[in-house]
Formats: sequence, structure tokens, C-alpha cells
Amino acid sequence: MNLKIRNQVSSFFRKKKKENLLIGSLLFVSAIIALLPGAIHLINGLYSLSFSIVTLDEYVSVIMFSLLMILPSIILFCMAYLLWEAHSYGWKLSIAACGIAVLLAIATPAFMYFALPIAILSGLAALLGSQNKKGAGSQIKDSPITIENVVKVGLRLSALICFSVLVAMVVFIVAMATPFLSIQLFTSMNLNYVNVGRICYGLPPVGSIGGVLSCTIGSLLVVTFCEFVAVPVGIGAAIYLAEYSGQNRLISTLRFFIEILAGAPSVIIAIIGFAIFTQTFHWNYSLYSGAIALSFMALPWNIRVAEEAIKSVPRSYREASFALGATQWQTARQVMLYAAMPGIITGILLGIGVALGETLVLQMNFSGATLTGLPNPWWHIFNLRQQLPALTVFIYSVPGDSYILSGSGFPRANPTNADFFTFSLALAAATVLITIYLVLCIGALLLRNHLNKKMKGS
Amino acid sequence: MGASAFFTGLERRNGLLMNMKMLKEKLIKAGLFVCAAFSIVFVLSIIFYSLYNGNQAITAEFLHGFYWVPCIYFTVYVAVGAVALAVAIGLPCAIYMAEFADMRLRNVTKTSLEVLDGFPSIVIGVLGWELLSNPRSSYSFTHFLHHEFGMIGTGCLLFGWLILMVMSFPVIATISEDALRAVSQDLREASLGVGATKWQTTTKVLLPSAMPRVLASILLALAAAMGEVVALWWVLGFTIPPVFSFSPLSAATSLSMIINNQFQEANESGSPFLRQQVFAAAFVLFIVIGLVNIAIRIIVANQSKRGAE
Repeated sequence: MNLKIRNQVSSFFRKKKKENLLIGSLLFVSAIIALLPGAIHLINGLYSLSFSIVTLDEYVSVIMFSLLMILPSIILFCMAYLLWEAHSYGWKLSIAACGIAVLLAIATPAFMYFALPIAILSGLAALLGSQNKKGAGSQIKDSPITIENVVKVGLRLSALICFSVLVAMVVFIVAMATPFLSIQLFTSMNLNYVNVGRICYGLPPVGSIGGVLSCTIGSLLVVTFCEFVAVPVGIGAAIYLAEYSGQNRLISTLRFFIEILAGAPSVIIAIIGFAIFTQTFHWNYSLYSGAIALSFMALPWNIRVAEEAIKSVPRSYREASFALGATQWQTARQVMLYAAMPGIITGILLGIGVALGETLVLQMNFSGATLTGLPNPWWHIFNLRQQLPALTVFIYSVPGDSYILSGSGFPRANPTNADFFTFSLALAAATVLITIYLVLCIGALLLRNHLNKKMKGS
Repeated sequence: MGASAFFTGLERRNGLLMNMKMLKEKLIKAGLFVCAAFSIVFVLSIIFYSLYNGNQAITAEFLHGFYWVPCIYFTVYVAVGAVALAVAIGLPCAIYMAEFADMRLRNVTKTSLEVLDGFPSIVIGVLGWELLSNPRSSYSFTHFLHHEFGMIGTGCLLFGWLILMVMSFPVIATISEDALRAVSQDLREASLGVGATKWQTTTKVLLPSAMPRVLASILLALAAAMGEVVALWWVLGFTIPPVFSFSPLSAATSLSMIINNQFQEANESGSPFLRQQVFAAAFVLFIVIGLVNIAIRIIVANQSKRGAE
């Protein structure tokens, strides 16, 4: 094992040119040094803040400032990586890094004590790099700066941006919410502002069940009921489209309507659902009006996913089944559906994640504009006529009430403690929401990889 | 005699069994068709209810009542700007994933794009409020703009572009990548064999032949961007009445936002006229987005026809 790793490492180093390796290591060291102040500031700030009563702004400014301090070291890491990739433009980039560091040091005195060492180190690296370039350039041109290389770096950068947007969003939400997460947020509170106010002034909340937990329960329940409708219908429709269809007019009409439904924006589905379920059927805000309105959105997704999965099953399976004398339905149910099951399960899990993020549909059909807690005997949550809170609706209504609608569209000049408390509730709810979403997504993708491997192996 | 009677009986029984089997198959086919027809029912009910509730607002005074012109202008302006930004990021990403990346990096990028595709829009909205348009937090963009440019207000078009860009580039990147991958290997090899570099192959051979589906993905992102409400709710600087402006630093109001706001207002005040107008607006928005979807359909159908030839 040890030998294997050593071999791998040595082969990794042998491929690169020596000079690039040297400068790259230098940059790595300087990047690690540059990482320290930011990390120390973060730990220090959070540790000292945790002893005193602070505002949200202070927390976030500590986090933001330490992120800003870490940024140069990230740039240095990137550059070292580029050098290790043995490209000849690494030294130019390190000159640029030197310049950035110097500029930072000039612009803000606070950066001085760590920006200057970076500037000196990267300047040194640049100098070494350019000298090496001169020495080696007369004999060989290992990797000339052509449009190909520039384009390649640009494309790689865009892919990195795509990846880092996701990471940044998740990290930022979690970092903002972490100071506010507590057991009390999740359990011991009904989600109305009377209770928030009471807690802020040291009074016990009215009612006992509630918190972000109640919102989570409401969201999960409505999505579950929605999938009870949308999964069987969606799979049935997908079987019809994939197995029983020729290329006739009927099928193209069906596809047309499915695409239109998939493109319909959620606000329209929300208000039409309200018009149908509340005003025509008089169901009010309830579990089944919410679930059926949500299935308007989930159905096209399920159909598309299941149809793609069924179509990706090899044709030979179907032909073999027909040759054995099976009917069309037997083939569809026992062969095609079975073989397509991994894809269908993955797609439906992703669809559940998307449906959890719906806001307006749930607000107008399920939760209502004024927030409620869970019903008092808790098993009433299974009553289909029950109005329940939902995570997205809660997040949607909290900053609205505490910031925007407080006086002529402008935020209040002196925000009270209650404002921060409600905002922290929203952040906690957002953390729970994206945690559930990421768990569903990553679970689905891992499951797909696993099942694909299994199918290929057999 | 007896034997033949026996055989005819068996045949009849087999025939009956066959008939039963056929009947079952037909019933199942009908049931599956009903499943597929659910979406037709849903779409028709959307059209019917919006027309039923909004028909009286579609009169001669239609254009004056509901701030139509600025709202539609802002809807298109926000969506087009955002999708232009998203193309600038998403298309290079698709090209990189399809042509240049090794398998590991491609899988990481593709997975993260898939996760980002269905990311809850409300969370993006909260992030936008906190990072872009909250005037009290000292690190937000509004704070900076307020100090540097003297902007008054909590949101502007630029923020809407940024937020919608984050929401729509995964769509463009994933679908374009599939389109680029679907281009046949022969074309690629022929181009490389003639002596073109990889970048020349990509721009001059692969992109033109994948163009219809890339265009379809862009239109798809456009349709999604036009209907978005929640992510824009805190960043676009919602004003009533909306004011015409070309500047990206001015407040804007999109049609879907005003539908959401006015619908709640109509429910609170119980005004039937406002309600009529809201449903008429919803009908208009639905038709506009439906037209974009039809355009996608035509583009993709043309391409598959060309591929068949």
C-alpha cells in the first residue's frame, strides 16, 4: 500500500518539469501562510462573539471579512496548481498575483501584515519563473501560448465557476445560519410572530408544538401526498408514450400539452389552483388542494424522467419478451419497467427535491398567508382538510414581514431584536430545506451510479 | 364425432381466453391513455379558469388598467439580460464538459449542475436579499451602490439579472452539453483529420451542428426566467406603479411579480375588478410562455427532421 502510494506520488512528480515544481511548491507554501490570518480571524471572531449579545451583521461581517482574507491564498493555490500543470504562463500569473497583493496592501492597511509577505513571495516566484523561461526558451518551447491554451484555461475557469456557485451558496447559507441554530428553534415554538415577540421579551410561547420542525413536517407531508398522485399517473403516461405509441397525431398532441404544462410558471399554477380548489370546490387551504396543485408541477417532470428511463432500455429486451409470447402489457410491466426502475427512482427522488422548493403553489393552496403551527393533537396532521405550515412559505413570509413591508417599502431604520430573531428563523428554515434537498439529490445520484455499475456488471 | 366436438369446444374456449386477453390489453391501454391525458386536462383547466375569471377584463380599457406595457417590457428585459449572462457562462461550461474535460472533472461539474438546476428558488432569493439588496448590511451590493452612485431603493434590474443568471445557466449548460455530445463522432474525426485544432473543430463544426438544441435550451431558460417570482421578490425593487426605465440600476416590476402581488391584494380587498385583471394577466403570461415553448418545439422538430434525412 505504502509503496503504491509512493510510486504514484513519484510518477506524479516525474511528469512535471523541475522548475515548475519548485515554483509551484514555493507558491503552495506561501498560500498556506496566507491562509492562516483568515482562519485565525474567523476562529477568533466567532469565539469572542459567542460571549456577547450581537447582531446578525456582526457575525456575517466576521465571516465575510475572513473569506476576503482567505481569497488571496486561494488565488495562490490556483497559481501553484497551474504551475504544477507545467504551463509556461504560470509565471505571468504569479506576477499578476504579486500586483494584486500589493494593491490590496496599499488599499487597506488591515491587509498589510499578510499581503506584503505574499507579494514578496510571489514576486520572487515570478522572477525565478521568468529566468527559467529565458534559460529554457532558447532550446525548447514546451507549451507555447497559443489560442488553444488560452481557450482551454477560459473554459476550465467557466466550469470552475459553475461548480463554485453551488458550493458558495450552500456554504454561505450554512455559515450565516450556524450561529442561530438551536434546539429551541426546531421544537419549542409555534411559528407566529406573537410567539417570536414573546420569546424575545422573555415570555413563554403560546402553544407547545411547532418550530422549524413543524414546517418540515408540513413540507414533507404535502410532497408525499403529491407524489401519491403524480408517480402512478406519470409512470402510466410514460409507458403509454414510450411503449404504445406510434408516430401519430394523438401522441404529438399529448407531447405538446405535456411540454406546455412543464413550462407553465408556478405563479399561474398557484392562482389557478386557488381558483379551482378554494373557490370552486371550497376545500380552502388543505392538504389535498396543496397536493393536487403541486402535482400539476410534478407530473410533467415524472413523465419526462420515466419516459427517458424506459427509452434507454435496449430494444433487444422488448423483442426477446415478445418472442417468448408475452403480451404488450406484460412486456411493459415485467420487462421494460423493471429494467428502467433505477432511472425512474432517481428521477422521482430529484423531482421530490424540486417539489420541496415550490413556494407560491404551497402558499396559495396549502399554508396560507398567515402562518400556523401544527394542529393541537398532532395526529391531526394526517387529516386531509388540515392547513399546515411549510418550509418555503415560512421563508417567503419572514423577511417580507420583518423588513420590506415595515413602512413604505423601506426597511425600518432601527430594527428590533425581534427582526433579527425572525430572520434567524428564516435562515434556519433555509438550512433545513437545502439540507433535505442536498441529501435527496446526492442520494439519488449515488444510487444511480451504484445501479448503473450493477447493471453493467451483470 | 365426439372428438371433433371436443376440439371445437377447446377452440371456442381458447378463443374466449384470447378475447379476454385482448380485452384486458385494451382496457389497460385505455387506462394508460387516461393517465397521459391528465396533462391535457390540467392545461385546459388552466386556460379555462383564467379565461372564465378574467374574461370581463379583456375590453377596450384593457391596456390602460394593469400597467401592461411597462410590466411586459420589464419581464422581457430582465429575462433576456439574465439569459444573455447565463449563455456567457453556461455555453463555455458545456463546451468544456463535452470536449475538453477529463471524465472525473466532467462528472463533478455535471453533478453540481444537476443539483443547482432544482435548487430551491426561495433560498436563492434569501441569498440575493442578504448579499445584494439589503441596504442595512454593510457588505451588500446596495450599500455600495448607495454610497458610490447615490441609488435610492432596495433593488434593481442588475440584481435580477444576476439572480436569474444563477438560476438559468444550469439549464443551458446541461442541455447544450447533451447536444454537443450527440453530434456524431464522424464529423469530429473528419475535422481533426483535415488538420483543424480542437478549438477550430468546436467552433466551426460542432457548435453549428448542435445549434438548434443549444437554441432550444436558451429559449427554455428564457421561458423559465419570465415566470420566476420568488427569487426576484426581494431583489428587483418591486414598485407599483412600475416606472419605465432603461438603466440597469433602476427598480423594475415583472409581470409575474405583479400577478402575485395583485392577486393577494384582490383576495384581501375582495375587489372583483382587480381579480378579473389578475386572471387576464395570468392568461397573457401563460400564452407568452406557451409561445416560447412552441418555438422550442418547432426548432427541435426541424432538427430531428433534418437528422432523419
